[in-house]
Amino acid sequence: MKKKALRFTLFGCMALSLALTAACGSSNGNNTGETANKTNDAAAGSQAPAENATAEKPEEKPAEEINPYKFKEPVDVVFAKNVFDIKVYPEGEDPGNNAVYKMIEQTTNIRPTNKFAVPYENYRERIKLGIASNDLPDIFFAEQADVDQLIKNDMLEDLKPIYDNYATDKTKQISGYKDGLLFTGAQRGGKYYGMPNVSDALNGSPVVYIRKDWMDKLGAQMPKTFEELIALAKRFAKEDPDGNGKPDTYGLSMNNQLDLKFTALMNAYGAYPKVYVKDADGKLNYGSLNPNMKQGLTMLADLYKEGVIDKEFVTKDMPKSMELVSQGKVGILIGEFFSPLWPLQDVPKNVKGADFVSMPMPGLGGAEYQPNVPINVSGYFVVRKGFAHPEALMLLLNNLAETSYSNLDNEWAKAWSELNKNPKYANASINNWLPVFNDRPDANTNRYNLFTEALKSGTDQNMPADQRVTFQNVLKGKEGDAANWAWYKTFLEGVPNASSYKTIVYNGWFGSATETGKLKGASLLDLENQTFIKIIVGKSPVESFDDFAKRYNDLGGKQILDEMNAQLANQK
Amino acid sequence: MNRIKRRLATKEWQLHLMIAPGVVFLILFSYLPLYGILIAFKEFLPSKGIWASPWVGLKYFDFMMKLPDVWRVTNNTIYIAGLKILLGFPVPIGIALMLNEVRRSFFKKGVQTIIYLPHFLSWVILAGLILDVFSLTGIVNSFLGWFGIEPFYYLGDNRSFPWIIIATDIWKNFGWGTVIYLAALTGIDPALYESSVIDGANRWKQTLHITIPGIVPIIILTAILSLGNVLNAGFEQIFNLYNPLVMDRGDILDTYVYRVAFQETNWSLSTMVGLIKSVVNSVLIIAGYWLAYRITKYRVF
Repeated sequence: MKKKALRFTLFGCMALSLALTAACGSSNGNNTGETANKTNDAAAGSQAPAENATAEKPEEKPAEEINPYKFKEPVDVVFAKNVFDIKVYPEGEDPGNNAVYKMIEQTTNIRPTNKFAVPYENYRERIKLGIASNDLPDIFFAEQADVDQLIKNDMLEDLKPIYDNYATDKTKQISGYKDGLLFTGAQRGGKYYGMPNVSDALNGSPVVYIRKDWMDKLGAQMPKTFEELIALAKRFAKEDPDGNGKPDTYGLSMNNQLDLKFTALMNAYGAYPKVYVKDADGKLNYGSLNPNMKQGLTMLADLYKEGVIDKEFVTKDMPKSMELVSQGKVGILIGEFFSPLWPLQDVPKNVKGADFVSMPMPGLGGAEYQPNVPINVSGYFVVRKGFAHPEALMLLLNNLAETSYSNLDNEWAKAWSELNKNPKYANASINNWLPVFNDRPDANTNRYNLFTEALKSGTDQNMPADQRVTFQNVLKGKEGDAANWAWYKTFLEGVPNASSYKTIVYNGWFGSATETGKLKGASLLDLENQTFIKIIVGKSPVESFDDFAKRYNDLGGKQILDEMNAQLANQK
Repeated sequence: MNRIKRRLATKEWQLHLMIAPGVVFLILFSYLPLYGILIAFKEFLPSKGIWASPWVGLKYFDFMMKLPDVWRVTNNTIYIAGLKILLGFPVPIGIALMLNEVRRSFFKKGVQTIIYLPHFLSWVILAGLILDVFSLTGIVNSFLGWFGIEPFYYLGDNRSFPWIIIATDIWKNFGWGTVIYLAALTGIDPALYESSVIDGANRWKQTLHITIPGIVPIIILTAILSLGNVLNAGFEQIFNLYNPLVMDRGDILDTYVYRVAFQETNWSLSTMVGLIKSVVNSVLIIAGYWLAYRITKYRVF
């Protein structure tokens, strides 16, 4: 039986074109039986009639040109679909059967189906379940922690050979951004176990949004320094800017996840909580232990005491805390360049005359503000070990790159732009319908440049056709159309503010938890969040920070750091 | 062999057939999965399956014992779960006895339905409700405000949090318990009441000498079974209600293991903790069963 399976593998490898050789070769090491069967199935399924003929005389077969955009024969690929909003699918279409999937089949010969299609809250659970039961989709998105787990379990294909053979220059520009830095989390030795899901480099870069109408009412000026920003937040909370006679307004939005809204404030004091910062010797240090945190926490404790931040932020996660913002009760939101699209878009709808102005985070005493911005990889696209066509992923990424760089000679990009023109899909965010999605790391900066140029010259004819839809929205918003207000704010105010920082502090650690981190990471994170929140709400004095820093190191923080530094030294 | 044949041939085979689906169900869903316990002693690699994953012995037991907060959360678990059992136990009995005295069946049925409704709502929904009720501007604080009491953040305080957990859990589940006791009450022979009336027993005496002894077996049964919950303080409930301010007293074994094990997809650890919980729980149930027999001479099985 085993012999037979092996012989079939050989046939399979010979019969399939160059595309497959890599897959067969790389997976021969272990799991031979299983891989053999699967490869054979795929071969039998896709090109059964030709198989025997070519297999007998492989040497006569001419070397095939690699087409990095399209398969010759239809290939079935099972994806896992993260569904953003089920309501945007028009009647008769759903995440597994829609115009985008049809377009993929026509332009690439990849026949996509979904193993499951669920919102992201459930997506990760399904992936974890899939890992536990060894029942994974062919190509799917995985977060860093899951990637580590998958690599450890030897469940992923090495994509390096396929990347080398198939990736176009444009794909290499995107995935290879910053000299391959984005691969780090899925890289083991020379092997790439995933393709980075690249997002805009501006994601996570802080932008301050201030209620313009409130500022006008109080006769306040745009803050120039961090101190002035905080002072303005206090005025918003105390001077009844909505004029209803009740003390129901807040200066700043805060939540119990201690996310950007917290870290961006701490960054002003030169403290970088939640990330590992490299010091002058190249050694990592944990930012939450920086003594400068004390100044930031003192400031926040003061704001809490004076009612400038929500007294109940402790029980609210980020989305929940946004309810107050949407209701127009919060004067200052530290958000990202796209915050006008969510949640600020709701404010003018709920409160008549509400408007926002935006600015970059100001520095302490007017000094330069250096934000921590997360590296622009949200996770990795990975291929299940044993899948016969791992290059399908590269085909999709290549085509997506053509769209990103607006090359309308490409079959996919052309079809994509047609689809976007169709009124049925124009406003359905069909980007989110794709099973795999990547964008240029400078996509929005590029849009900003195109849009400002078009505004100057007065014509949008110089910009690629696929950008004109967005530009028209921006233009309408600029001319005062309420429905498009958020587009204008996002692209002409949010983006330039988010990209205005000269120095950015990156997290120096990519991987998931180290050995001690696995054992103690959760407890240490508990300790850290509890300490910060207790100081903010005034249950502990700010002096307890010193005690916390010492305990953190004693409880394993020091050891985790040592392990990380050792691992980094090894990787060099 | 012959005897089995003869047995099946006689009238008993129908009974065996009736019990068969239950037995199959038990074997499929309760006994076969026991095989998965092996995960607790292995470095589980899903791609290899349970059997082929390498053995690591008691590594994860060791790991669990070394977790920095494991004793604090075990304490919290026993404290919260113990009080839930202790305080929650008499409530349905009392309510059932009182409802039993109600003669208007419309009122009785109405109360019964209303009090057991929350049992069918998930904690996710109830948590939203509870967060609202106990918030700084919620019903409780507004009401106390009329008496000049300053608003207090009950869900953000280590002293009040466990009590809110206990009280809301009892509120959610007492209706269900009541239904069980009411069912037991209908099983008491009415002739006993009639003869006691002839003997001159009043309502109180009837309750004391007929009703309560009549439901003692059920009381003992539920008491023994509830002992098995000493390490279950209610994951869903606490997970949806807790926050960093109440970790000291509100964090329980299950929520803690969830954070430690699931953030790193550590199946072996969570299986080990589950196994230990099951062992402790079954020891307690067996001990309870034995005690009940020694004290009351009553056997459930």
